[in-house]
Amino acid sequence: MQIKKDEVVWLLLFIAPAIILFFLFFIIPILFLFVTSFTNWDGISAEFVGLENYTKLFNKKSFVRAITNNLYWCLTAALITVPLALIIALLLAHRSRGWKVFRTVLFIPQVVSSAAIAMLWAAMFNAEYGLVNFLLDYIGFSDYKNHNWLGNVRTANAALIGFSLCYVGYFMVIMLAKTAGISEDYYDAANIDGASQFQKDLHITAPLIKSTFFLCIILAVIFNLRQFEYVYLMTAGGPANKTQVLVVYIWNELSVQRLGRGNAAGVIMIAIGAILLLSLRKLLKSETYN
Amino acid sequence: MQRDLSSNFYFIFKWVIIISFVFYAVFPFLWLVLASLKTNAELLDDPFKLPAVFQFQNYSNAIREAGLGKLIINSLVISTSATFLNILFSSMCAFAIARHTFWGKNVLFLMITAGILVPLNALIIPYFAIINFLNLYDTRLGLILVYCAVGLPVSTFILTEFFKSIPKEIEEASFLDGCNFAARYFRIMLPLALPGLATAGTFQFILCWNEFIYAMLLTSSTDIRTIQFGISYFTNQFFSDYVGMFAAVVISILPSITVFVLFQERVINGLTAGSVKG
Amino acid sequence: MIKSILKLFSVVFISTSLTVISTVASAEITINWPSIWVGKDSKSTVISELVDEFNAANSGSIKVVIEEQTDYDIYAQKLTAQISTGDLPDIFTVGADLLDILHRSGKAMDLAPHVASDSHWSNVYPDGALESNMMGGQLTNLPYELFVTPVTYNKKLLKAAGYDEFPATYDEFFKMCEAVTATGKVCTSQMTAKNAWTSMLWFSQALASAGGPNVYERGLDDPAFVKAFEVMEKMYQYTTSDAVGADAGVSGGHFLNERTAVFMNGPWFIARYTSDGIPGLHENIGVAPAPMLTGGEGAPGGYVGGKQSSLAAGKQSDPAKEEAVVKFLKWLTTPENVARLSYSSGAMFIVKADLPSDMDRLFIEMNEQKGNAPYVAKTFMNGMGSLPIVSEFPQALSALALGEVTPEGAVEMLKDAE
Repeated sequence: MQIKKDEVVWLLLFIAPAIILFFLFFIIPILFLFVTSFTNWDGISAEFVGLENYTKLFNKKSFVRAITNNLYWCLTAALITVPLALIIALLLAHRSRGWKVFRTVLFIPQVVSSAAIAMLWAAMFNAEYGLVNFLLDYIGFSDYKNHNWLGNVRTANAALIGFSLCYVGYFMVIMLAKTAGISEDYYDAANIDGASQFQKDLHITAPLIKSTFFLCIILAVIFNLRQFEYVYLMTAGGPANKTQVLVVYIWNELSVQRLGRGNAAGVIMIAIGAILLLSLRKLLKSETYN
Repeated sequence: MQRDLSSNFYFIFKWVIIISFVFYAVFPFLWLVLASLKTNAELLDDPFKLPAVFQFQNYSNAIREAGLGKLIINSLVISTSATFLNILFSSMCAFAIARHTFWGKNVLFLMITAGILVPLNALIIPYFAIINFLNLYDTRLGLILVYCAVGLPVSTFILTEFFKSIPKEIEEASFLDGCNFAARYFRIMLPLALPGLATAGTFQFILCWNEFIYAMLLTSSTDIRTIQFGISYFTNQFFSDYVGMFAAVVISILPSITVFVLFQERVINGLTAGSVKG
Repeated sequence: MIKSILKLFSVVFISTSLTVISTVASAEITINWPSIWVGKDSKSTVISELVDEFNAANSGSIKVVIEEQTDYDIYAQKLTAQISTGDLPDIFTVGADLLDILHRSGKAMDLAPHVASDSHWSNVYPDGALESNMMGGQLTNLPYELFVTPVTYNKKLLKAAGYDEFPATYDEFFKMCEAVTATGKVCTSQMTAKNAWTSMLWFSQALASAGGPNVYERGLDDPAFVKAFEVMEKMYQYTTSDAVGADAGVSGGHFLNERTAVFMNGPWFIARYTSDGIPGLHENIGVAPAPMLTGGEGAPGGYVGGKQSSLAAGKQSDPAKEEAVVKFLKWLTTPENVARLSYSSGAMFIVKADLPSDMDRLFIEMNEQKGNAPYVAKTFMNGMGSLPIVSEFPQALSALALGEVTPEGAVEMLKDAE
């Protein structure tokens, strides 16, 4: 509803804290990022170099590789992770016995610190004593007995992305929360009509949480663009720069005191993110509430 | 209701999926606990074998060496405060955006949610400068503000979504009762949006709890340090006391899980009882 | 609902007030030291003893407070941020990669006048050590910890393969690798994760033996770099299957578990052979200089090593505080204290130390071989002088190990990093 004159004060009061904090911790740093991206700043001194950082970045194979890897991550998130989360949310929404326990258990990976999880999975993928190879050998694929999943250019990315599936819990919880608000009446009516569980899920629950589903897709895509810890801790972008992603690339640039170039990469990342965000919203806009 | 073949199939499908993902999710945690009860030598030898003797003292050692007790309290204080402030500010903002039209609304929303795109790791020097400028270096308040701010885009995004989906009729009814802006927010919207608040709150809490880089960057004394510092205590450039670290990690997970369970329990389940009847 | 809001609000209020209660101001000078020698670091016990003793001796007038920095990467980023904004700590350690911007920031304390006026410094530092660290007439850092990285090998495993002594040339070395593999063990520990430390050290050794200790001055076009990569290519044929992507824990772990026969690391690792190795490992370890490339410019017995870390201080405006900082720096550089650090951790220092006679056998051997070495060449990390190239090394190495590039291609990758 349109804001009334006497409520303007309230409105300003309500949006003020968010705006102030946002200004301090986002607007100012981003401006800083943007300005320094046109210099060769190394932490102490800076000279204006125009677009040199940008052109150099796009000429580097590893940077372009980072962008394509990020897009793979985003695609996986949108097409596999979130739909899987949806399915699990739908299934848990049945509220069958023990669903609360499952919900908590599936959420546990989000709660464990990334360092520990990365270490665990690196150990699981280890060529010498890793569990993955052990299991494969047990099943009968003994070719893989000493396969170095994370150290092999063909399988490193696949292994990393496979690992990321344990994050369905995050989105599952969001969608499950939304199902809590669905009125029982709908289900009662469906029961009277003799609908099966599957039909209820497909025609009642799913459409009602559609907007949340799209929310999760957007969040997933953006989070994967920002992916840092797992890649950094498990492969640091290797081997041979094959698993490079943008934020790891930026971190490396910052670590070698090429802050101007690192910030330029940051600006590029934000630009890509903005394009993705806007196109996703447009794509999904007709489906959401306005 | 009849159970026919496709119903059974769906039933089996459901449990296969749930059990396999549960395994996928819970196995890391089980391994963590197992690994934390071994010695370092055993761990390097074969990470998945059972330990010869269960090294329970890894836990007491970890608590003692890294001073985990105080760190957990710090983490609790900082994470709870930051989450509270974050949810408060973002819900206020989301309420304004979701339910009203005003000049600049779309720009504001786009701007704040665009904050999700920002790579925090690249902002180390600006954040360090700003916190120093505000004289908040090595203070709990400094970290609280940073965490609150950093989570604003995601929280606002989630909450705007939840607010938008609350039926307008309720709010319009409250108008007739003479509710003003603030009353609408506190009495009507907040209770109805509790699942959203709980969701956003849980994620914010976990963000604060697990955050490491800025916790190290913006603090220096152990009085202020968080639990993640305690975990990093066990590693250094050339050496890692893995089992000590894993014990610390297991200890650090417990509060997060507790918060998650509490939030989900109290708020969401309380709500299914009182959901809107058409 | 309101109750829980109030509950949470009081939490916020309490925590905010706690932050406002600041420490009691006193006439005591506080020196803050964000130290990386804490926690599980081998020097942490003695360092905290030294700090306690200093504080006790100066109680009421000076107090040194250690701020623990447990993650080295984050510490480096933090120090860079502090150098950039000018908020330097009172005293801190700095690695070779940050010395340059530290100096250029102009915010570091110039120790030259203090060094010149007090005979302590010329007594404890070898001749020329301080002068060579001066930049632009200023001394903004004190070289402190030193390291060397000879080969450490498992004598028992080598003997089982038929070798009583460590080979002197790479040809011999690779023959030995064949023999070791035939006994069912793996020859070397290698790693490509993080900074590829162990492999980087091997690379530095090969480089020094191909091009001599001054190879870095000649730049990447020198054929020594290709030769060194050729050695690495071969080296990776005789290592564990998880070497590509392995970090220090994994590669060290293999040696500690007697899965690999040959390792390379610094003196700080000596204590670990006893504490984390399989029983009896320490007695079986031998130390040797790396092999030589026939026809290379290096000389037999040549060692690789260099500056591990330096001490530095932030500029002070208060002369009393500056004196206090210098006093503490002196305390950290007395021969007795440095000897204590060496003895307990195995670390080596540039500062002259009165080492006790019961130092660890391996430490003594390393020290002796270092003394007899014709040169101590820099590591690739310290000698290359270009952070981007050093940072690209692990990627080039893993590409080489996986057959994605030739040795020439690996050098190209390094050149492209600039």
